[in-house]
Amino acid sequence: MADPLMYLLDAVAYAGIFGILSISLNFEYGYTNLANFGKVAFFMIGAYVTAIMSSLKYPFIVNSILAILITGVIGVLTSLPALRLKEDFLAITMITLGEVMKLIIKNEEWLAGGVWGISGIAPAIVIPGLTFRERLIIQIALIYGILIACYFICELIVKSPYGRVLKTIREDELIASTYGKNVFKYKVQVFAVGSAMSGLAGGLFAQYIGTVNPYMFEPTVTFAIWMMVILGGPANNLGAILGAFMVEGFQRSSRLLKDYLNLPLDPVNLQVMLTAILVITVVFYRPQGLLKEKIKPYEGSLHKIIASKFMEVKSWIRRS
Amino acid sequence: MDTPILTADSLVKKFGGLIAVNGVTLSIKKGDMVGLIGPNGSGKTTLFNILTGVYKPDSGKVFFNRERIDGLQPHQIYHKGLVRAFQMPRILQRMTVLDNLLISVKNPGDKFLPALFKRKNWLKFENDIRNKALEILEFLGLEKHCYVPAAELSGGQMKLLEIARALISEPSMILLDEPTAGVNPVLANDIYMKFREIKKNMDITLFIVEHRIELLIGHVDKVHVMHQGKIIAEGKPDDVINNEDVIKVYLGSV
Ligand SMILES: Nc1ncnc2c1ncn2[C@@H]1O[C@H](COP(=O)(O)OP(=O)(O)OP(=O)(O)O)[C@@H](O)[C@H]1O
Ligand SMILES: [Mg+2]
Repeated sequence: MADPLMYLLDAVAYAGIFGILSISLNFEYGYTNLANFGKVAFFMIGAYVTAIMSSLKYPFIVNSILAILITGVIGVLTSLPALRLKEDFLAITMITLGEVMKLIIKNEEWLAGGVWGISGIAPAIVIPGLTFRERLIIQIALIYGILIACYFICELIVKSPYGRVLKTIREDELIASTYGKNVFKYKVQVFAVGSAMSGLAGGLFAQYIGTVNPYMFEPTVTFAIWMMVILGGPANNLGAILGAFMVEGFQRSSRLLKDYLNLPLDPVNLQVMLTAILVITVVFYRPQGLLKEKIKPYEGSLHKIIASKFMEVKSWIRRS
Repeated sequence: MDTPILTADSLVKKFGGLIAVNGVTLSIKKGDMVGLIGPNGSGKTTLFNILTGVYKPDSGKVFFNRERIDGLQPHQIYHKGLVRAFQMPRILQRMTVLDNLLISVKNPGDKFLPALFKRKNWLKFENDIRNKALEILEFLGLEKHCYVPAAELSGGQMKLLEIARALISEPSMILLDEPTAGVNPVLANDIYMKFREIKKNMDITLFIVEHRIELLIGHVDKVHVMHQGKIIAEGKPDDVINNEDVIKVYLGSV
Protein backbone atom coordinates (compact mmCIF):
# COMPACT_ATOMS: atom_id res chain seq x y z
CA MET A 1 0.00 0.00 0.00
CA ALA A 2 1.59 3.18 -1.18
CA ASP A 3 -0.14 5.67 1.04
CA PRO A 4 -1.37 4.30 4.36
CA LEU A 5 -3.43 7.43 5.00
CA MET A 6 -5.30 6.90 1.73
CA TYR A 7 -5.98 3.35 2.69
CA LEU A 8 -7.33 4.51 6.02
CA LEU A 9 -9.54 7.21 4.49
CA ASP A 10 -10.87 4.71 2.00
CA ALA A 11 -11.74 2.37 4.88
CA VAL A 12 -13.48 5.22 6.68
CA ALA A 13 -15.57 5.97 3.57
CA TYR A 14 -16.52 2.33 3.19
CA ALA A 15 -17.44 2.07 6.86
CA GLY A 16 -19.71 5.08 6.45
CA ILE A 17 -21.54 3.56 3.49
CA PHE A 18 -21.90 0.27 5.30
CA GLY A 19 -22.98 2.13 8.41
CA ILE A 20 -26.06 3.27 6.48
CA LEU A 21 -26.76 -0.30 5.41
CA SER A 22 -26.25 -1.53 8.94
CA ILE A 23 -28.65 1.07 10.35
CA SER A 24 -31.23 0.11 7.77
CA LEU A 25 -30.99 -3.58 8.67
CA ASN A 26 -31.13 -2.65 12.32
CA PHE A 27 -34.38 -0.82 11.63
CA GLU A 28 -35.80 -3.94 10.01
CA TYR A 29 -34.30 -6.66 12.16
CA GLY A 30 -33.26 -5.03 15.42
CA TYR A 31 -36.50 -3.16 16.00
CA THR A 32 -39.11 -5.04 14.01
CA ASN A 33 -37.64 -8.56 13.85
CA LEU A 34 -37.83 -8.65 10.06
CA ALA A 35 -35.01 -10.90 8.92
CA ASN A 36 -34.09 -9.35 5.58
CA PHE A 37 -31.50 -11.55 3.88
CA GLY A 38 -31.72 -9.61 0.65
CA LYS A 39 -29.93 -6.44 1.71
CA VAL A 40 -27.47 -6.67 -1.16
CA ALA A 41 -30.32 -6.58 -3.72
CA PHE A 42 -31.44 -3.13 -2.65
CA PHE A 43 -27.87 -1.94 -2.31
CA MET A 44 -27.21 -3.13 -5.86
CA ILE A 45 -30.38 -1.62 -7.32
CA GLY A 46 -29.55 1.72 -5.73
CA ALA A 47 -26.02 1.56 -7.13
CA TYR A 48 -27.18 0.66 -10.62
CA VAL A 49 -29.93 3.27 -10.72
CA THR A 50 -27.36 5.88 -9.82
CA ALA A 51 -24.87 4.52 -12.31
CA ILE A 52 -27.35 4.47 -15.19
CA MET A 53 -28.72 7.89 -14.37
CA SER A 54 -25.24 9.28 -14.03
CA SER A 55 -24.32 7.98 -17.47
CA LEU A 56 -27.33 9.94 -18.73
CA LYS A 57 -25.72 13.00 -17.08
CA TYR A 58 -28.23 13.48 -14.30
CA PRO A 59 -26.90 15.00 -11.07
CA PHE A 60 -26.39 12.95 -7.91
CA ILE A 61 -29.32 14.45 -6.04
CA VAL A 62 -31.77 13.37 -8.76
CA ASN A 63 -30.17 9.93 -8.97
CA SER A 64 -30.41 9.48 -5.22
CA ILE A 65 -34.05 10.43 -5.05
CA LEU A 66 -34.78 8.01 -7.87
CA ALA A 67 -32.71 5.29 -6.19
CA ILE A 68 -34.64 5.82 -2.95
CA LEU A 69 -37.99 5.69 -4.72
CA ILE A 70 -37.22 2.65 -6.85
CA THR A 71 -35.73 0.59 -4.03
CA GLY A 72 -38.57 1.64 -1.72
CA VAL A 73 -41.16 0.50 -4.25
CA ILE A 74 -39.32 -2.76 -4.95
CA GLY A 75 -39.13 -3.28 -1.19
CA VAL A 76 -42.90 -2.94 -0.94
CA LEU A 77 -43.61 -5.09 -3.99
CA THR A 78 -41.41 -7.97 -2.82
CA SER A 79 -42.48 -7.81 0.81
CA LEU A 80 -46.22 -7.65 0.08
CA PRO A 81 -46.47 -11.30 -0.94
CA ALA A 82 -43.63 -12.54 1.28
CA LEU A 83 -44.95 -10.99 4.48
CA ARG A 84 -48.30 -12.68 4.01
CA LEU A 85 -46.54 -16.02 4.28
CA LYS A 86 -44.61 -17.41 7.22
CA GLU A 87 -41.42 -15.76 8.45
CA ASP A 88 -39.07 -18.22 6.76
CA PHE A 89 -40.51 -17.31 3.39
CA LEU A 90 -39.42 -13.74 3.79
CA ALA A 91 -35.82 -14.86 4.18
CA ILE A 92 -35.99 -17.15 1.17
CA THR A 93 -37.75 -14.56 -0.99
CA MET A 94 -35.15 -11.96 -0.15
CA ILE A 95 -32.13 -14.19 -0.80
CA THR A 96 -33.67 -15.13 -4.12
CA LEU A 97 -34.39 -11.52 -4.98
CA GLY A 98 -30.70 -10.67 -4.64
CA GLU A 99 -29.63 -13.49 -6.91
CA VAL A 100 -32.35 -12.85 -9.49
CA MET A 101 -31.50 -9.16 -9.69
CA LYS A 102 -27.86 -10.01 -10.19
CA LEU A 103 -28.71 -12.47 -12.95
CA ILE A 104 -30.86 -9.90 -14.72
CA ILE A 105 -28.09 -7.35 -14.60
CA LYS A 106 -25.48 -9.86 -15.77
CA ASN A 107 -27.55 -10.97 -18.74
CA GLU A 108 -29.23 -7.80 -19.94
CA GLU A 109 -26.27 -6.00 -21.39
CA TRP A 110 -28.36 -3.23 -22.96
CA LEU A 111 -29.63 -2.26 -19.51
CA ALA A 112 -26.60 -2.14 -17.31
CA GLY A 113 -23.54 -3.26 -19.20
CA GLY A 114 -23.87 -6.97 -18.34
CA VAL A 115 -20.86 -8.54 -16.66
CA TRP A 116 -18.73 -5.54 -17.56
CA GLY A 117 -20.83 -3.22 -15.49
CA ILE A 118 -20.88 0.53 -15.84
CA SER A 119 -17.91 2.75 -15.29
CA GLY A 120 -17.19 6.43 -15.38
CA ILE A 121 -19.85 7.30 -12.80
CA ALA A 122 -19.41 10.92 -11.87
CA PRO A 123 -18.81 11.70 -8.21
CA ALA A 124 -21.59 13.61 -6.44
CA ILE A 125 -19.49 16.69 -5.83
CA VAL A 126 -17.06 17.79 -8.51
CA ILE A 127 -14.75 20.65 -7.71
CA PRO A 128 -12.05 21.12 -10.34
CA GLY A 129 -8.41 21.32 -9.36
CA LEU A 130 -8.46 19.28 -6.17
CA THR A 131 -5.95 16.62 -5.26
CA PHE A 132 -6.97 13.02 -4.88
CA ARG A 133 -6.74 13.27 -1.12
CA GLU A 134 -8.95 16.36 -0.98
CA ARG A 135 -11.53 14.70 -3.14
CA LEU A 136 -11.51 11.75 -0.78
CA ILE A 137 -12.15 14.01 2.17
CA ILE A 138 -15.10 15.62 0.39
CA GLN A 139 -16.47 12.15 -0.28
CA ILE A 140 -16.15 11.27 3.39
CA ALA A 141 -17.95 14.47 4.38
CA LEU A 142 -20.80 13.63 2.01
CA ILE A 143 -21.06 10.02 3.14
CA TYR A 144 -20.99 10.90 6.83
CA GLY A 145 -23.50 13.70 6.36
CA ILE A 146 -25.93 11.18 4.91
CA LEU A 147 -25.04 8.59 7.55
CA ILE A 148 -25.76 11.04 10.35
CA ALA A 149 -29.04 12.06 8.72
CA CYS A 150 -30.09 8.41 8.45
CA TYR A 151 -29.06 7.83 12.02
CA PHE A 152 -31.19 10.65 13.36
CA ILE A 153 -34.18 9.74 11.24
CA CYS A 154 -34.04 6.21 12.63
CA GLU A 155 -33.49 7.45 16.18
CA LEU A 156 -36.47 9.80 15.97
CA ILE A 157 -38.66 7.04 14.59
CA VAL A 158 -37.73 4.33 17.04
CA LYS A 159 -38.08 6.78 19.91
CA SER A 160 -41.65 7.61 19.10
CA PRO A 161 -44.97 5.81 19.52
CA TYR A 162 -44.33 4.39 16.05
CA GLY A 163 -41.11 2.80 17.29
CA ARG A 164 -42.96 1.42 20.27
CA VAL A 165 -45.30 -0.34 17.87
CA LEU A 166 -42.34 -1.78 15.97
CA LYS A 167 -40.83 -3.15 19.17
CA THR A 168 -44.20 -4.60 20.12
CA ILE A 169 -44.30 -6.39 16.78
CA ARG A 170 -40.82 -7.71 17.49
CA GLU A 171 -41.79 -8.95 20.94
CA ASP A 172 -45.28 -10.29 20.27
CA GLU A 173 -47.26 -9.78 17.08
CA LEU A 174 -50.49 -10.96 18.67
CA ILE A 175 -50.30 -8.22 21.28
CA ALA A 176 -49.69 -5.64 18.59
CA SER A 177 -52.77 -6.73 16.67
CA THR A 178 -54.87 -7.19 19.81
CA TYR A 179 -54.24 -3.54 20.55
CA GLY A 180 -55.25 -2.32 17.16
CA LYS A 181 -51.97 -2.19 15.25
CA ASN A 182 -52.10 -3.43 11.69
CA VAL A 183 -48.95 -5.55 11.87
CA PHE A 184 -48.82 -6.20 8.14
CA LYS A 185 -48.98 -2.52 7.28
CA TYR A 186 -46.20 -1.69 9.71
CA LYS A 187 -43.96 -4.41 8.35
CA VAL A 188 -44.42 -3.24 4.77
CA GLN A 189 -43.61 0.31 5.80
CA VAL A 190 -40.49 -0.75 7.65
CA PHE A 191 -39.43 -2.74 4.64
CA ALA A 192 -39.96 0.22 2.37
CA VAL A 193 -37.90 2.51 4.59
CA GLY A 194 -35.12 -0.04 5.10
CA SER A 195 -34.92 -0.76 1.39
CA ALA A 196 -34.93 2.90 0.42
CA MET A 197 -32.09 3.54 2.83
CA SER A 198 -30.11 0.66 1.34
CA GLY A 199 -30.77 2.08 -2.12
CA LEU A 200 -29.39 5.41 -1.04
CA ALA A 201 -26.29 3.67 0.31
CA GLY A 202 -25.96 1.92 -3.05
CA GLY A 203 -26.04 5.25 -4.85
CA LEU A 204 -23.36 6.65 -2.56
CA PHE A 205 -21.26 3.58 -3.18
CA ALA A 206 -21.57 3.88 -6.97
CA GLN A 207 -20.55 7.53 -7.10
CA TYR A 208 -17.71 6.87 -4.66
CA ILE A 209 -16.20 3.92 -6.50
CA GLY A 210 -17.03 5.33 -9.92
CA THR A 211 -17.84 1.94 -11.37
CA VAL A 212 -20.26 -0.89 -10.71
CA ASN A 213 -20.35 -4.49 -11.86
CA PRO A 214 -22.40 -7.52 -10.78
CA TYR A 215 -19.48 -9.12 -8.94
CA MET A 216 -19.50 -6.38 -6.32
CA PHE A 217 -22.90 -7.56 -5.11
CA GLU A 218 -22.40 -11.10 -3.93
CA PRO A 219 -24.46 -12.53 -1.02
CA THR A 220 -21.37 -12.01 1.18
CA VAL A 221 -22.32 -8.31 1.25
CA THR A 222 -25.61 -9.23 2.92
CA PHE A 223 -23.78 -11.34 5.46
CA ALA A 224 -21.30 -8.58 6.20
CA ILE A 225 -24.22 -6.23 6.98
CA TRP A 226 -25.78 -8.85 9.21
CA MET A 227 -22.48 -9.26 11.04
CA MET A 228 -22.34 -5.52 11.64
CA VAL A 229 -25.77 -5.51 13.28
CA ILE A 230 -25.19 -8.66 15.31
CA LEU A 231 -21.80 -7.53 16.54
CA GLY A 232 -22.69 -3.91 17.16
CA GLY A 233 -25.91 -4.69 18.99
CA PRO A 234 -29.37 -5.12 17.49
CA ALA A 235 -31.84 -2.36 18.38
CA ASN A 236 -29.03 0.08 19.02
CA ASN A 237 -28.27 2.45 16.16
CA LEU A 238 -24.91 3.54 17.52
CA GLY A 239 -24.12 -0.13 17.86
CA ALA A 240 -25.00 -0.69 14.22
CA ILE A 241 -22.53 2.01 13.17
CA LEU A 242 -19.90 0.64 15.52
CA GLY A 243 -20.47 -2.78 14.00
CA ALA A 244 -19.87 -1.34 10.52
CA PHE A 245 -16.55 0.10 11.68
CA MET A 246 -15.53 -3.14 13.32
CA VAL A 247 -16.32 -5.41 10.41
CA GLU A 248 -14.79 -3.04 7.89
CA GLY A 249 -11.72 -2.50 10.03
CA PHE A 250 -11.37 -6.16 10.68
CA GLN A 251 -11.67 -7.14 7.04
CA ARG A 252 -9.15 -4.51 6.01
CA SER A 253 -6.59 -5.35 8.64
CA SER A 254 -6.79 -9.06 7.96
CA ARG A 255 -6.30 -8.28 4.26
CA LEU A 256 -3.23 -6.25 5.17
CA LEU A 257 -1.81 -9.12 7.16
CA LYS A 258 -0.97 -10.98 4.01
CA ASP A 259 1.51 -8.29 3.00
CA TYR A 260 3.41 -8.54 6.23
CA LEU A 261 3.05 -12.13 7.30
CA ASN A 262 4.24 -15.11 5.40
CA LEU A 263 1.51 -17.56 6.11
CA PRO A 264 1.21 -21.04 4.76
CA LEU A 265 -2.43 -20.44 3.80
CA ASP A 266 -4.45 -18.28 1.48
CA PRO A 267 -5.09 -14.89 3.13
CA VAL A 268 -8.68 -14.88 1.84
CA ASN A 269 -9.35 -18.06 3.77
CA LEU A 270 -7.62 -16.61 6.79
CA GLN A 271 -9.93 -13.61 6.65
CA VAL A 272 -13.01 -15.80 6.56
CA MET A 273 -11.71 -17.82 9.50
CA LEU A 274 -10.83 -14.78 11.58
CA THR A 275 -14.22 -13.22 10.86
CA ALA A 276 -15.94 -16.37 12.02
CA ILE A 277 -13.89 -16.36 15.20
CA LEU A 278 -14.77 -12.73 15.84
CA VAL A 279 -18.50 -13.36 15.44
CA ILE A 280 -18.43 -16.46 17.62
CA THR A 281 -16.49 -14.67 20.34
CA VAL A 282 -18.86 -11.72 20.49
CA VAL A 283 -22.02 -13.82 20.29
CA PHE A 284 -20.65 -16.08 23.00
CA TYR A 285 -19.56 -13.44 25.48
CA ARG A 286 -21.97 -10.65 24.58
CA PRO A 287 -25.05 -12.09 22.93
CA GLN A 288 -26.77 -8.70 22.85
CA GLY A 289 -23.89 -7.24 20.86
CA LEU A 290 -21.27 -4.73 21.95
CA LEU A 291 -23.75 -1.95 22.62
CA LYS A 292 -26.84 -3.30 24.28
CA GLU A 293 -30.34 -2.14 23.56
CA LYS A 294 -31.34 0.61 25.97
CA ILE A 295 -34.60 -0.31 27.59
CA LYS A 296 -35.71 2.97 29.06
CA PRO A 297 -38.25 5.69 28.37
CA TYR A 298 -37.37 7.82 25.39
CA GLU A 299 -36.50 11.47 25.57
CA GLY A 300 -39.04 13.66 23.90
CA SER A 301 -37.39 16.22 21.67
CA LEU A 302 -34.55 16.07 19.19
CA HIS A 303 -32.11 18.13 21.23
CA LYS A 304 -32.63 15.86 24.21
CA ILE A 305 -31.91 12.85 22.03
CA ILE A 306 -28.76 14.47 20.69
CA ALA A 307 -27.66 15.44 24.20
CA SER A 308 -28.15 11.94 25.54
CA LYS A 309 -26.33 10.44 22.55
CA PHE A 310 -23.45 12.79 23.18
CA MET A 311 -23.21 11.69 26.80
CA GLU A 312 -23.42 8.07 25.73
CA VAL A 313 -20.56 8.38 23.26
CA LYS A 314 -18.52 10.31 25.79
CA SER A 315 -18.89 7.73 28.51
CA TRP A 316 -18.22 5.03 25.99
CA ILE A 317 -14.99 6.64 24.86
CA ARG A 318 -13.94 7.18 28.45
CA ARG A 319 -14.48 3.53 29.29
CA SER A 320 -12.49 2.17 26.38
CA MET B 1 -80.90 -0.34 28.65
CA ASP B 2 -81.41 -3.80 27.34
CA THR B 3 -79.45 -3.60 24.13
CA PRO B 4 -76.83 -6.31 23.83
CA ILE B 5 -73.31 -5.09 23.10
CA LEU B 6 -71.97 -8.53 22.21
CA THR B 7 -73.86 -11.46 20.77
CA ALA B 8 -72.51 -14.88 19.88
CA ASP B 9 -74.68 -17.06 17.70
CA SER B 10 -74.06 -20.84 17.54
CA LEU B 11 -70.29 -20.61 17.54
CA VAL B 12 -68.38 -23.79 16.74
CA LYS B 13 -64.62 -24.26 16.77
CA LYS B 14 -62.89 -27.59 16.22
CA PHE B 15 -59.25 -28.52 16.66
CA GLY B 16 -58.89 -31.70 14.62
CA GLY B 17 -61.35 -34.09 16.18
CA LEU B 18 -61.78 -32.02 19.34
CA ILE B 19 -64.76 -29.70 19.47
CA ALA B 20 -63.50 -26.94 21.77
CA VAL B 21 -66.51 -24.67 21.32
CA ASN B 22 -69.69 -26.49 20.47
CA GLY B 23 -72.57 -24.21 19.56
CA VAL B 24 -72.17 -21.33 21.99
CA THR B 25 -74.94 -18.74 21.90
CA LEU B 26 -74.89 -15.90 24.34
CA SER B 27 -75.67 -12.25 24.61
CA ILE B 28 -74.13 -9.64 26.87
CA LYS B 29 -75.93 -6.50 27.88
CA LYS B 30 -74.27 -3.14 27.49
CA GLY B 31 -72.81 -1.91 30.76
CA ASP B 32 -72.97 -5.28 32.51
CA MET B 33 -70.20 -7.12 34.27
CA VAL B 34 -70.57 -10.76 33.35
CA GLY B 35 -68.72 -13.85 34.56
CA LEU B 36 -67.80 -16.96 32.62
CA ILE B 37 -66.98 -20.09 34.60
CA GLY B 38 -66.33 -23.70 33.69
CA PRO B 39 -63.89 -26.55 34.27
CA ASN B 40 -60.43 -26.58 32.73
CA GLY B 41 -60.56 -27.23 29.02
CA SER B 42 -64.23 -26.34 28.71
CA GLY B 43 -63.51 -23.87 25.92
CA LYS B 44 -63.56 -20.49 27.67
CA THR B 45 -60.28 -19.21 26.27
CA THR B 46 -61.12 -20.56 22.84
CA LEU B 47 -64.41 -18.65 22.97
CA PHE B 48 -62.47 -15.46 23.79
CA ASN B 49 -60.11 -16.16 20.93
CA ILE B 50 -63.04 -16.39 18.54
CA LEU B 51 -64.67 -13.24 19.87
CA THR B 52 -61.48 -11.23 19.38
CA GLY B 53 -60.58 -12.55 15.95
CA VAL B 54 -57.62 -14.72 16.91
CA TYR B 55 -59.51 -17.71 15.53
CA LYS B 56 -62.14 -17.77 12.84
CA PRO B 57 -65.08 -19.89 13.98
CA ASP B 58 -65.87 -22.97 11.90
CA SER B 59 -69.47 -21.80 11.96
CA GLY B 60 -71.59 -19.26 13.78
CA LYS B 61 -71.63 -15.50 14.00
CA VAL B 62 -70.44 -12.77 16.33
CA PHE B 63 -72.09 -9.37 16.55
CA PHE B 64 -70.61 -6.39 18.35
CA ASN B 65 -72.88 -3.37 18.60
CA ARG B 66 -75.08 -5.08 16.01
CA GLU B 67 -72.21 -5.26 13.57
CA ARG B 68 -70.88 -8.60 12.43
CA ILE B 69 -67.26 -9.02 13.54
CA ASP B 70 -66.40 -12.70 13.02
CA GLY B 71 -63.85 -12.95 10.23
CA LEU B 72 -62.34 -9.58 11.08
CA GLN B 73 -58.68 -9.33 12.10
CA PRO B 74 -57.88 -8.69 15.78
CA HIS B 75 -56.70 -5.15 15.05
CA GLN B 76 -59.97 -4.35 13.29
CA ILE B 77 -61.95 -5.68 16.23
CA TYR B 78 -59.94 -3.48 18.58
CA HIS B 79 -61.01 -0.43 16.61
CA LYS B 80 -64.65 -1.46 17.01
CA GLY B 81 -64.07 -1.11 20.76
CA LEU B 82 -63.52 -4.70 21.92
CA VAL B 83 -60.31 -5.49 23.78
CA ARG B 84 -59.05 -8.51 25.67
CA ALA B 85 -56.44 -9.52 28.22
CA PHE B 86 -54.81 -12.93 27.99
CA GLN B 87 -54.84 -15.78 30.47
CA MET B 88 -51.10 -16.33 30.08
CA PRO B 89 -49.60 -12.87 30.39
CA ARG B 90 -48.08 -11.82 27.07
CA ILE B 91 -45.47 -9.40 28.26
CA LEU B 92 -43.25 -7.41 25.92
CA GLN B 93 -39.99 -8.47 27.53
CA ARG B 94 -37.51 -6.00 26.09
CA MET B 95 -39.70 -2.97 26.72
CA THR B 96 -40.32 -0.98 29.86
CA VAL B 97 -43.35 -1.69 32.02
CA LEU B 98 -44.73 1.69 31.05
CA ASP B 99 -44.30 0.99 27.34
CA ASN B 100 -46.10 -2.31 27.88
CA LEU B 101 -49.07 -0.27 29.03
CA LEU B 102 -48.93 2.56 26.54
CA ILE B 103 -48.99 0.24 23.55
CA SER B 104 -52.69 -0.42 24.10
CA VAL B 105 -53.76 3.16 23.46
CA LYS B 106 -54.54 4.75 20.09
CA ASN B 107 -51.76 7.30 19.76
CA PRO B 108 -51.45 10.05 17.15
CA GLY B 109 -47.76 9.12 16.91
CA ASP B 110 -48.54 5.57 15.82
CA LYS B 111 -48.36 6.65 12.19
CA PHE B 112 -45.06 7.08 10.39
CA LEU B 113 -45.19 10.67 9.19
CA PRO B 114 -46.77 12.16 12.33
CA ALA B 115 -44.22 10.23 14.40
CA LEU B 116 -41.47 12.08 12.55
CA PHE B 117 -42.94 15.46 11.81
CA LYS B 118 -45.64 16.08 14.38
CA ARG B 119 -43.69 15.36 17.53
CA LYS B 120 -45.27 18.16 19.55
CA ASN B 121 -48.63 16.69 18.80
CA TRP B 122 -48.01 13.24 20.21
CA LEU B 123 -45.60 14.34 22.93
CA LYS B 124 -48.48 16.20 24.54
CA PHE B 125 -50.71 13.17 24.16
CA GLU B 126 -47.99 10.97 25.66
CA ASN B 127 -47.75 13.21 28.69
CA ASP B 128 -51.46 12.96 29.43
CA ILE B 129 -51.66 9.26 28.88
CA ARG B 130 -48.54 8.62 30.94
CA ASN B 131 -50.16 10.14 34.00
CA LYS B 132 -53.12 7.87 33.57
CA ALA B 133 -50.81 4.89 33.19
CA LEU B 134 -48.88 5.82 36.31
CA GLU B 135 -52.12 6.03 38.23
CA ILE B 136 -53.12 2.52 37.29
CA LEU B 137 -49.62 1.19 37.97
CA GLU B 138 -49.80 2.71 41.40
CA PHE B 139 -53.13 1.07 42.06
CA LEU B 140 -51.61 -2.29 41.16
CA GLY B 141 -48.44 -1.62 43.16
CA LEU B 142 -46.24 -1.54 40.07
CA GLU B 143 -45.26 2.14 40.07
CA LYS B 144 -41.74 1.39 41.33
CA HIS B 145 -41.18 -0.80 38.30
CA CYS B 146 -42.48 1.69 35.81
CA TYR B 147 -39.23 2.15 33.90
CA VAL B 148 -37.65 -1.29 34.22
CA PRO B 149 -37.70 -3.89 31.45
CA ALA B 150 -40.90 -5.88 31.84
CA ALA B 151 -38.89 -9.12 31.76
CA GLU B 152 -37.80 -8.34 35.32
CA LEU B 153 -41.32 -8.56 36.76
CA SER B 154 -42.49 -11.55 38.77
CA GLY B 155 -45.13 -13.85 37.34
CA GLY B 156 -47.91 -12.28 39.39
CA GLN B 157 -46.81 -8.78 38.45
CA MET B 158 -46.86 -9.73 34.79
CA LYS B 159 -50.43 -10.85 35.26
CA LEU B 160 -51.29 -7.47 36.78
CA LEU B 161 -49.61 -5.71 33.88
CA GLU B 162 -51.68 -7.76 31.47
CA ILE B 163 -54.90 -6.50 33.09
CA ALA B 164 -53.67 -2.93 33.39
CA ARG B 165 -52.94 -2.86 29.67
CA ALA B 166 -56.51 -3.76 28.80
CA LEU B 167 -57.99 -1.33 31.32
CA ILE B 168 -56.04 1.68 30.14
CA SER B 169 -57.16 1.39 26.53
CA GLU B 170 -60.72 2.40 27.54
CA PRO B 171 -62.67 0.45 24.95
CA SER B 172 -66.40 -0.14 25.20
CA MET B 173 -65.93 -3.76 26.23
CA ILE B 174 -63.12 -5.78 27.80
CA LEU B 175 -62.72 -9.55 27.91
CA LEU B 176 -60.58 -10.67 30.84
CA ASP B 177 -59.28 -14.24 30.99
CA GLU B 178 -58.75 -15.18 34.64
CA PRO B 179 -57.51 -11.71 35.58
CA THR B 180 -56.72 -12.59 39.16
CA ALA B 181 -55.12 -16.02 38.76
CA GLY B 182 -51.94 -15.98 40.83
CA VAL B 183 -52.80 -12.65 42.42
CA ASN B 184 -53.04 -12.47 46.22
CA PRO B 185 -56.64 -12.61 47.53
CA VAL B 186 -56.75 -9.11 49.00
CA LEU B 187 -55.51 -7.51 45.80
CA ALA B 188 -57.78 -9.78 43.80
CA ASN B 189 -60.79 -8.39 45.61
CA ASP B 190 -59.48 -4.84 45.13
CA ILE B 191 -59.16 -5.55 41.44
CA TYR B 192 -62.79 -6.58 41.28
CA MET B 193 -63.71 -3.36 43.07
CA LYS B 194 -61.72 -1.54 40.39
CA PHE B 195 -63.61 -3.37 37.67
CA ARG B 196 -66.87 -2.20 39.21
CA GLU B 197 -65.60 1.34 39.32
CA ILE B 198 -64.57 1.18 35.67
CA LYS B 199 -67.87 -0.34 34.71
CA LYS B 200 -69.81 2.36 36.52
CA ASN B 201 -67.72 5.43 35.75
CA MET B 202 -66.73 4.71 32.20
CA ASP B 203 -69.62 2.55 31.13
CA ILE B 204 -67.35 -0.28 30.07
CA THR B 205 -68.84 -3.73 29.68
CA LEU B 206 -66.76 -6.52 31.22
CA PHE B 207 -66.78 -10.23 30.45
CA ILE B 208 -64.58 -12.16 32.86
CA VAL B 209 -63.40 -15.75 33.04
CA GLU B 210 -62.89 -16.66 36.68
CA HIS B 211 -62.33 -19.92 38.52
CA ARG B 212 -62.86 -18.53 42.00
CA ILE B 213 -66.61 -18.15 42.04
CA GLU B 214 -66.62 -16.46 45.41
CA LEU B 215 -64.88 -13.51 43.73
CA LEU B 216 -67.66 -13.16 41.21
CA ILE B 217 -70.54 -13.26 43.67
CA GLY B 218 -71.46 -9.78 44.73
CA HIS B 219 -69.62 -8.19 41.84
CA VAL B 220 -71.09 -9.50 38.61
CA ASP B 221 -74.57 -9.08 37.18
CA LYS B 222 -74.69 -12.43 35.46
CA VAL B 223 -72.74 -15.66 35.11
CA HIS B 224 -72.46 -18.08 32.19
CA VAL B 225 -71.30 -21.62 32.84
CA MET B 226 -69.42 -23.53 30.16
CA HIS B 227 -68.88 -27.26 29.99
CA GLN B 228 -67.40 -29.25 27.13
CA GLY B 229 -67.78 -26.36 24.73
CA LYS B 230 -71.39 -25.60 25.59
CA ILE B 231 -73.13 -23.05 27.79
CA ILE B 232 -74.95 -25.21 30.33
CA ALA B 233 -76.36 -22.50 32.55
CA GLU B 234 -76.66 -18.75 32.83
CA GLY B 235 -78.25 -16.34 35.23
CA LYS B 236 -77.73 -14.47 38.48
CA PRO B 237 -74.67 -15.72 40.36
CA ASP B 238 -76.73 -16.95 43.31
CA ASP B 239 -79.06 -18.93 41.09
CA VAL B 240 -76.24 -20.40 39.05
CA ILE B 241 -74.32 -21.81 41.99
CA ASN B 242 -77.45 -23.58 43.15
CA ASN B 243 -78.11 -25.05 39.71
CA GLU B 244 -77.83 -28.84 39.85
CA ASP B 245 -76.02 -29.26 36.54
CA VAL B 246 -73.46 -26.68 37.57
CA ILE B 247 -72.86 -28.34 40.91
CA LYS B 248 -72.40 -31.67 39.17
CA VAL B 249 -69.87 -30.60 36.54
CA TYR B 250 -68.09 -27.80 38.27
CA LEU B 251 -68.65 -26.96 41.87
CA GLY B 252 -68.97 -30.57 42.96
CA SER B 253 -65.68 -31.48 41.43
CA VAL B 254 -63.75 -28.71 43.15
N1 LIG C 1 -54.66 -24.05 19.49
C1 LIG C 1 -55.20 -25.22 19.92
N2 LIG C 1 -54.93 -26.36 19.26
C2 LIG C 1 -55.47 -27.53 19.66
N3 LIG C 1 -56.28 -27.64 20.71
C3 LIG C 1 -56.59 -26.55 21.41
C4 LIG C 1 -56.05 -25.27 21.05
N4 LIG C 1 -56.53 -24.34 21.92
C5 LIG C 1 -57.31 -25.02 22.78
N5 LIG C 1 -57.35 -26.33 22.48
C6 LIG C 1 -58.14 -27.35 23.19
O1 LIG C 1 -59.46 -26.87 23.29
C7 LIG C 1 -60.00 -27.20 24.56
C8 LIG C 1 -60.51 -25.95 25.23
O2 LIG C 1 -59.39 -25.17 25.62
P1 LIG C 1 -59.53 -23.76 26.29
O3 LIG C 1 -58.17 -23.20 26.41
O4 LIG C 1 -60.52 -22.98 25.56
O5 LIG C 1 -60.09 -24.15 27.74
P2 LIG C 1 -60.37 -23.21 28.97
O6 LIG C 1 -61.80 -23.34 29.29
O7 LIG C 1 -59.87 -21.86 28.74
O8 LIG C 1 -59.55 -23.94 30.11
P3 LIG C 1 -58.73 -23.33 31.36
O9 LIG C 1 -59.73 -23.03 32.42
O10 LIG C 1 -57.82 -24.42 31.75
O11 LIG C 1 -58.03 -22.11 30.87
C9 LIG C 1 -58.91 -27.92 25.33
O12 LIG C 1 -59.15 -29.30 25.28
C10 LIG C 1 -57.64 -27.55 24.58
O13 LIG C 1 -56.73 -28.62 24.65
MG1 LIG D 1 -58.44 -20.72 29.55
